[in-house]
Order: sequence, then C-alpha cells, then structure tokens
Amino acid sequence: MIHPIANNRRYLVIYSIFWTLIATIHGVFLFNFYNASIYLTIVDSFIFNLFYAIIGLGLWYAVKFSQMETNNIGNLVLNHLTAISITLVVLLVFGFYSVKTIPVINEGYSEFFNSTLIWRILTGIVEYILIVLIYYLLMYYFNFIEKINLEAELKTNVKVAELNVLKSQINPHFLFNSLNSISALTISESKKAQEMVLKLSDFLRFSISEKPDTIRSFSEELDNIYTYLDIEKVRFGERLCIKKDIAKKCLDAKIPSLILQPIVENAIKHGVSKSIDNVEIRITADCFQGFLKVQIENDFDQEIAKVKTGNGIGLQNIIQRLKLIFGRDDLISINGENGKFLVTITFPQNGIYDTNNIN
Amino acid sequence: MIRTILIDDEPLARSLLHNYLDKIEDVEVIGEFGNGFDGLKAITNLKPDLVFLDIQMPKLNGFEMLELLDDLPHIIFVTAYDQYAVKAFESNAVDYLLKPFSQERLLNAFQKAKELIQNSSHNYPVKQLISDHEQHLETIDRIAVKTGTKIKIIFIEDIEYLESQDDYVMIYTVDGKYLKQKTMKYFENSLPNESFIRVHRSYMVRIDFVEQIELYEKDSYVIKLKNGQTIPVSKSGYNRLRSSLNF
Repeated sequence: MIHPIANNRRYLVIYSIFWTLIATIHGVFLFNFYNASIYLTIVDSFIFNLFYAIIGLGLWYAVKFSQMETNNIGNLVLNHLTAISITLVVLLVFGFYSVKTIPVINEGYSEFFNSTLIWRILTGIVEYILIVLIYYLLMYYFNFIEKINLEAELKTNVKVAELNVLKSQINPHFLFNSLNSISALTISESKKAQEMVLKLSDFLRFSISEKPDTIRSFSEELDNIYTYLDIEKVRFGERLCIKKDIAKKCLDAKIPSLILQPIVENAIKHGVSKSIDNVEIRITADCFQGFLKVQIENDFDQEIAKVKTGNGIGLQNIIQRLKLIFGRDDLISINGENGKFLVTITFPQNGIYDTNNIN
Repeated sequence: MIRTILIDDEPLARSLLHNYLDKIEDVEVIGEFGNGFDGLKAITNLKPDLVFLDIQMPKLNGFEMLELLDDLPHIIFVTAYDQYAVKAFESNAVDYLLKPFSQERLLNAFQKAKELIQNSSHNYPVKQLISDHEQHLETIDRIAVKTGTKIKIIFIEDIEYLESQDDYVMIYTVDGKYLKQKTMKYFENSLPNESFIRVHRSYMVRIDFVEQIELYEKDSYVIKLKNGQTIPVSKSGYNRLRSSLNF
C-alpha cells in the first residue's frame, strides 16, 4: 500500500492545514501561558511543528509495520512505544538546536525550553496518537474500498461467465441437417443451395460473434430469427408456416442478443419436427409504456408430446439470463395448453443499457 | 434387386438418398416415408430387404419404431448428430451414415448390407444394437407400445407402476395396462429415478402413487398403492425407498 498522504495532493493540502492549526494552538499556548514573545512564539511553533509534520509523514511506515491483523497486542504496544520515543527525542533535540541557531533568540531559550518540556512531551504524545489514529483509519478505509471494488469486479466476472454458459449454443443437429439439405440442393437446385449457404453463414456469423451480454435492436434480432427460420423452412417445407405480427414502432427496441433464438428452436424441435401436420409458428411483438412484449407461439401434437413448461434447459437458461441482465424473474411466462405452446417475454426498455458495458 | 425403403422426415434428405441410390444398380426404392408410424406400417406390409432410417422423426422416432417390429429388416441409420447412436453403432450396425455423407460412403454402406442380405444372414444384430442404445440412453419421457393393431404412446407421467412378466414388463397406467418387450433393468435405467423406484425384483412404482408403506412381517414390508392394491417390497427395495423418501 502506497503512502496515503504523500502521494495525494488533496490529502497533502489537508495535512498542511492540519499542522498549521496545530502550530497555531501551539503558539497560543506559548504566548498565553508561558509568556513568550511574539517573535519566539512564531519561530518556536513554526520550527517544532514543521519538524513534527515531516516526522508525521514517516509515521505512516510505523503504522503500516504495525497492522492490527498481523501483530499481537504486545508487539503493537512495543512498536508504538519505540516509535513515540524516537519521534519525541528527534523532535525535541532537533527542534531545540534549530531554534537556538536562529539569531535574536537569546540565552534564555534553554530555560524557557526546560520549563515547557513537560508540556511539549505531553502534546507530542497526544499528537502522535492523533496522527496514528488517522493513519489507521485511512488504512482501513482504503482496504475497505479496495475490497468493495474487488468484489464488484468478481461479481462482474462471474456474471459474464454465467452469461457465457447460458448463451444459446449452435445446435449441432440443426447444423448438420442443414448441411445435408445443402448437399441435396447442390444436385437439383444449385441456385437454392447457394442461397442456403449464404443464409447459414449469416446465421453462424451472428451466433458465433455475439458476446453474451450484448444488447441489440429488436430488428437485428428478428432478422437473425428470420434467417434461421428460412433455413428450417428449406428443411421442413410445407410443414413449417411462419406468421409475423410485429408492430413497426417496436423495431428499435432493445433486447439481449440471441435470447429469443432458443424459443424459436424449441418451437421447431418440439412443434414442427415432431408433428406430421403443418405447424404454425406465430411471432408477435408490441411496445407499451417502456416495455417490449414478444410472444412466440407454436402448435404441437398433443398425442405424442407432453408439455413441460419451464423444465427444458433452453427455457431455464433464458429465465436465468433475464434474471442476470434485468435482475427480475417475472419477465417471462410459459404456457402450454390445448396443443399450443406460448412463451411471452417482456423486456424493460429503461435501464437496459446499464448492463451493456459489463466488461 | 434389393428392395429398399427410405424413412426420413425431411423431403430433401430423402431426395438426396434417392438420388444417390438411383446410381446404384441393384437397388429398387419401393417407398419413401416421412414418419415412424408410416414407416412401421410400410415395413410390416412391404417387407423390404433394407431400410434407410432417420432417428429423429415425428410420431415415433427410429428406435421406438424398431422396438415395435417383430421381424427386423436390415437397417442403415442415417442421422445428423447423435452421440449415443454413434457410440452404439460403432460395433454392431449394418452401418450408419452421418449427415451429410458422400455417394461413396453410401455405396460402401449399401455393399455391406447387400452382402448380408445375399448371404441371407438373419442373425444380424439390430436387436443387440437397440439394447446397446438403451444403455447409453438418458431418461426417456415416453414409451411406444402395440395394442392389437394400434400404437399407443404412453407418457411416463401416466405410469402408476410396472410389473415384470417373463420377458415382458406390464405397464400399469391411468388408462389401462400395456405389455412391452423390455427388461425391468431397462426401465430402471431409463425412467427418471426421482419419480420411480424399483421396490422389488419384479416391481417398480411411481413414488407419487404410493399411499403408504406397511410392515408385513418382521423386517418385511409391502406398499399400499393409491388404488388400494399392495405390492411386495424387497430388502434392497426398502432401502431405496428409505433413501429417496428420507425416512
């Protein structure tokens, strides 16, 4: 730990003011109670307190050397007794001889000094205690601040790590099936194959490059979902129908990136790919009073699949992510009844930027 | 000619297979199907020599479909990504193809199957392969059974208890009982063990369906089920009950 006062201009100024005040009190005492002349008063207070101020800076090291956590009481007392003795001896010897070298201070100074010696020692001790206490306080204050910062940093790191884990991963099943579709298209419809390669590239680029805490515009997020659904549409053909109802004013709303992706993937996995009938995926969005509300709904075949709302890892991850980003767990609702699976998420639009620069 | 059918839910995947197979001389594709139900029917009716089978499909998946067949044709699995399948097939399958695959890879798999078919070796190990798959399987969430000519999907939430009967297991559910050709060990491994407990060599119960556990004789217990029936509890079964119900 560096010297808290010597390395901080503001504290140095306060320290100087502190000693000016002490020196003034010193002077008032000498003048009023020991009948010193104005001249002697000024010279004596100035020199002794200047010396003490300089020694006082050095006392930091005595305090640093005597931290309460690492020393027992005996050591602490011994350290401070040693420090206070040295401080007083140095102060009084140097002070005395320095004042004596000043012209016009006559022979009588020795007697004057002797008569004030007890007083000097007592005030010296009080000042020592005061300085040391301030140093201890500063030390604990700085340690405390450092700890708080460290904790905050740790929390941020943990949060980033958690978000990383929760971020939607590219589903290998989707990837290899898409590649297989492309393989098929190269034989029959090369133009369409190329289209699909481009779409798949767009989708992969978006998924891979996104940082887990990125907040982006709803329209960008939607574009990525549409790209994904376009690819799936090639795979499933007629079986996949998409219906969109997005309020135009919502397109600039902010949303954590890739947070809707797992929901759409679930709709494909549990709705489309398990059903023989055509399955509709409905995406609707509306904005109101500082919130963006997104609903994703899909049909599913009740005969072959039971709905487990919120049991899936994908949905759990979204709930966790929403909690980490917004600090709330009431933003998502999941509902599966009568062959329809509906996920509704409300994204608060105020304060969403706070988490934007998490690292 | 090798009479072949294709079962895959994606039209493009089927068309690719079809396209590749058209270039092989001895193959006759006699049908294409998009789900496990239709596939099951087709295999039973058409009795093909060879089936190209996807695993993830609507209605019944590839494994569930095979479980319901009495006579198995030769199977080549065609799958996108299935870590369990890959593991299971490595030793036993006629072959498995990982999507996307090349024409050469397909030809290679076909040659293997053709050899087996022409040597009319019926001992080929799909049954073995399925049971291998079971060992790697995570918990299941449904069971496909045959009732007469119909196929019934049992959700595990609807199961009350299971009783072993020789090579079969009788599954008692909220809407009736169904026989399945499986071992108790299989169900012990694949039903979620937070909801089901094997209480006896021949019995497994759903925890929620237990009314109470009664002392039958000294050191011997029975379970009273919610429908009033009692089933025996073995010593190790009792220990399992204790540890999972914390009493």
